[in-house]
Amino acid sequence: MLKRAFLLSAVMLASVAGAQVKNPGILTDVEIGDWRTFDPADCYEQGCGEILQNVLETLYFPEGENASKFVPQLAAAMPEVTNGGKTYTIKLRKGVKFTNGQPLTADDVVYSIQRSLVLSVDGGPAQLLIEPLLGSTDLIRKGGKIGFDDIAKAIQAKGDDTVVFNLAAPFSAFISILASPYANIYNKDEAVKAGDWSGTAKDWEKFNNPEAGTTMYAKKPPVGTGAFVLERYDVGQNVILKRNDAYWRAPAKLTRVIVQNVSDENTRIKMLEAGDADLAFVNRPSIPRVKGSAGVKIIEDTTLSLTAFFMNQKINGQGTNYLGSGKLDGNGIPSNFFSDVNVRKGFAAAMDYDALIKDVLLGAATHPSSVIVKGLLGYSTNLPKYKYDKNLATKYLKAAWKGQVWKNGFTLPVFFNSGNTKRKGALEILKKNLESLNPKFKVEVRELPFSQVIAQGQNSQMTVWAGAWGADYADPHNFAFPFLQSSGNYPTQIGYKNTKLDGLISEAVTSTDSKKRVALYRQIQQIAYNDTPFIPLYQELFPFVQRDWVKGRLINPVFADDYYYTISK
Amino acid sequence: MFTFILRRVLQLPLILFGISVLIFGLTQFLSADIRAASFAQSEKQAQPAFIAGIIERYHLDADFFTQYRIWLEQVFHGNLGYSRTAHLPVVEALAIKIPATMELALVAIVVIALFGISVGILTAVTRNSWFDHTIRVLSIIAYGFPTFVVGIFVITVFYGILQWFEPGRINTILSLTAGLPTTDGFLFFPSLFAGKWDIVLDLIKHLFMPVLTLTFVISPQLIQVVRSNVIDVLRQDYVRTAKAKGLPTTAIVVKHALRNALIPVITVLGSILIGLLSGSIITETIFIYPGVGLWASQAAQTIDIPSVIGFALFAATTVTLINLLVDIFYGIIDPRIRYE
Repeated sequence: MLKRAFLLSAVMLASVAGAQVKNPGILTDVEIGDWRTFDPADCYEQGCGEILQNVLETLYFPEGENASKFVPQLAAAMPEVTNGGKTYTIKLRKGVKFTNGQPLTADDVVYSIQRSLVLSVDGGPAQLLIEPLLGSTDLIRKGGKIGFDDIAKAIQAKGDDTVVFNLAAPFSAFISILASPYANIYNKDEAVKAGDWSGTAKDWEKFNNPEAGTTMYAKKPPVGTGAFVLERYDVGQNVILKRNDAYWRAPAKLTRVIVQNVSDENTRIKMLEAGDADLAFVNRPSIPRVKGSAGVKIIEDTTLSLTAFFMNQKINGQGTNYLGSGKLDGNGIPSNFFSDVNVRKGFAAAMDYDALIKDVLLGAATHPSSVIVKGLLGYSTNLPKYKYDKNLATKYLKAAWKGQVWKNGFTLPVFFNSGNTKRKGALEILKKNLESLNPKFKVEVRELPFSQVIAQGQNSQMTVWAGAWGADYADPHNFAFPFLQSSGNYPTQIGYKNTKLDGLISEAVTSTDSKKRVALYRQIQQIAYNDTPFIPLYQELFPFVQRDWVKGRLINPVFADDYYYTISK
Repeated sequence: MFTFILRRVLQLPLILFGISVLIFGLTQFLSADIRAASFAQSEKQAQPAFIAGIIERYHLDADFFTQYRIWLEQVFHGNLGYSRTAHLPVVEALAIKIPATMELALVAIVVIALFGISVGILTAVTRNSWFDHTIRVLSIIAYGFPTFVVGIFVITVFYGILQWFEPGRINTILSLTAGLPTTDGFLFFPSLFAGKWDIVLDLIKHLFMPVLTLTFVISPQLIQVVRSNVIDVLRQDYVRTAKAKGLPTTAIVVKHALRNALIPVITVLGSILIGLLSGSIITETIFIYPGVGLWASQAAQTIDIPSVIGFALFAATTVTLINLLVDIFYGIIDPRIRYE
């Protein structure tokens, strides 16, 4: 009895303590994952992107919570676009200073953007800038087609306060890219003094494609103009940001931000409940645990991401046994099994999207019709989308391969990456529904390590797998290209090519007329719907979990996690 | 004795060589592209040229001997490679992660030893009493508990409900106000010797939950070993003689029984220490303790070969040196044992 009373009073004390703002002025954000690098030319992940977003700034920035609208940040105004959409002239904001006291100049902007291209780190973000500026989808390599002269022509300083971007072709998503964390601006003098690239042609090759994670700014970001500066980095554990009191706008309300890597979910939740964490990453299955906890608030918001099934039309059977017999005899599949659109459409009609969203994703997702997810230009609810229809699935699969699929059946392994229960659930639904259509259909849901899914996807060895894409910037091109352009990330893996689509995607991204772009992207989606190269599954809602004393938090799907400048507690 | 120690120390390079060959050999079962793909942090990062670039840069498609030779050349230059998991050179990663684990292991081993040996002796001396029975039952229960269950319970009670202790290694805000340049490396012992009591106290507060968890999970094993050995010794003729001479029980246990019962206990403590120094993965994860175990488990999951080899070399060195120390202690405790 005494013990119960003691525990009860302890709980009450704890909850009372929890109601008071702990460490006012200091925000603690507990997350998973750590920080591979702080080099803007190398960072292509949310973790490092978040730190850079708060210590460095870009020419433009998303307006509040709107992912597709931008306002000038280091730029003085929106760009002057001339030369048929190929030249962007940008005046810099006056009075902006780096944290080392030097004023922001056009040289710094040119250096920052050029350095990203010069480094062109494998797996880094440079490709996002190379495509509009140099008209290539390949990274820059010494001895390659693109040299430093091309880079120098693409970005030029005009005086101290004006930057000119000369694009290879009009590129309507260019401002979105300049507003993304992949176009951060930093101080040239400090970088050169520290022994990084000189900013000239003489040593660019020496700095080209360095080993990822080992560049000049692997452990400390460059000198920027942001509202915070990095105060300390405890490798892999904490990043501590300190307010920049000489910020060019009013200083941030928070004096410090502590970002902690806490891999155990239970510990993150306990820290949140105790008030030691103000913001916490909580996985969807644990949301019911925190829902209703005193002082905890959950904000659900749409992500700009798409999870889909990919069906490989040219399976490379070497090195795996995924094709089984390699024939349509019920014991395997031929390597071009998915080249028949009836198979692809049959699979699309056999998927129960509502059950996936309700049972596996606990309602926290929507079913998009195609690659253009909600929040992007060209998104429409009026476009056709795949529906679960047993009769339609039967019709398509009976027609596939001139009736052989239905007559002989197939044995097909399908894949997801280890630990991803959502993708596993989606594949289990597909398996159940396909096998219920015809007892000769055999689907094996297989788990593979993440690296194996990537490697075998790249080698076109996979049959069907569940994968996802998240936006780099809020423009439909960032989805249309990787999903549908024949040289894009996924079509090269699944052997899909539609020259008409290639032309339309190119036309849509070079068009400067937004009405025309909307029409083009709708046409692109309609063609993709007819071709069915992949099956769109879901666009997730993300639960942003925080203490209720946190105010001013902006939720924007193109932010790299959080933007601390507006936050107070 | 000197020859014995020298022989054991000279075996170490051979052991390390064998381990590195074995791990390298095992990784060859994975194809070059799978090993290259493990460098990607996300699906998106693995752009078409990415895997080819990684294979070329790290010679992943070369034969085993070439790859091993390249690695060995690096080692002779004091470079164990780059840890993708720690985002640091492996040598640096070991240097910042081992001290944290060592501090946890050393504090934990002292607590486990004190608790396990005293309770073990008490249960032996009071054999078949209610105390003995209770401890035996509790030991079996504790021994059967998975570490993560105990850890979650401990953090829920002592942090979630009572808020007496915090997870982590040190309070980040205190570390800032105290002017610590980093929270890596040794903290406890330097702060103790420098008399920085606020830091020492905070470190103890952070060590409490992981040490309690480890003590709960590990000490039953020690209690059982101490108990059975002390009981065995108490049955010996010389103990009976001592009793017959009228020596008090405490003197018999401390002077005679304990010394002889300690040899197997030292072996057990040695293996416990090896386990603790190799990193208590689950404990470190639950309590956000930035040690070597957590790093090694993440490295293994992501096929971070330089890190795995670096950790294995560290673990092998630890095992060899601790076993050597245990053997030396044998000689000190029991002069009958000679190593010539």
